[in-house]
Amino acid sequence: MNEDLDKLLESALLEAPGDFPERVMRRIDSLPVHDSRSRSWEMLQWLALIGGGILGVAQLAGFMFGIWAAVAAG
Amino acid sequence: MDIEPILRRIAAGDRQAFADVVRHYQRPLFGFLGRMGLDQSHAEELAQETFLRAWMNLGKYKPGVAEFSTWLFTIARNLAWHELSRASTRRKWIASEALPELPSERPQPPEELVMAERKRRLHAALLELPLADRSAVGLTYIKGLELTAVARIEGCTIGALKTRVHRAKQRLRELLEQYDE
Repeated sequence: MNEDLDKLLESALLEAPGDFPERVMRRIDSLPVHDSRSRSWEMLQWLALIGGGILGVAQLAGFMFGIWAAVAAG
Repeated sequence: MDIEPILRRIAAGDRQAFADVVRHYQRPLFGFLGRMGLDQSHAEELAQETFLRAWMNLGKYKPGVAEFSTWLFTIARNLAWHELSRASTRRKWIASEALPELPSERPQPPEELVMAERKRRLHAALLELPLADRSAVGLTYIKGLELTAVARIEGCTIGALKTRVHRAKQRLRELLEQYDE
């Protein structure tokens, strides 16, 4: 029974259709190329996000300082 | 399969090199999806999605960190889990008893019919297992995938994996015996 079950589990319950690789490749051909350029682009996006974040924090800090200065001046 | 020369070919712009990857892994992938209890059409969809995701994330694959097969079957396993854990889909599959159809165009030898019937019953029994046990069994029976890799994909220890597989097989045996009665 044990061996039978093992054999049954090893057997292919489902089979890939004959043209499966061609179908996958057709879909892949419609996708953009993922090479080192796309990784550079991703890195650039991260840098822009971090830069934008720093600018935002600096703006907020300036605004807070302005309020503090106005209150302190009476 | 040595994936690195293929990755180099792809990096050099040869997209068709990926077809070798598909050809190599399609059989174990369909086997895994079958053991997960999927029917043919859903398995085809998920297998295509697995290869597409692998293609799109190929740049993130680190050969030194994991075997390509481990990485690929992690994608497949996560997709299958996501699909099967959607309650409505699961109910639909169970309700329709989505078993592989027997081809009826040509007469089959008796032994093929017997095998097809046994596969139908196994498929039905697999659907009765909890998803975690089904997934453990599904991955364990992939030829060439080490137990350590399966445990890694499942996110458990080898001991826990063996326990799950043992429990699942025990339950499968019980169910198959019930079907035979």
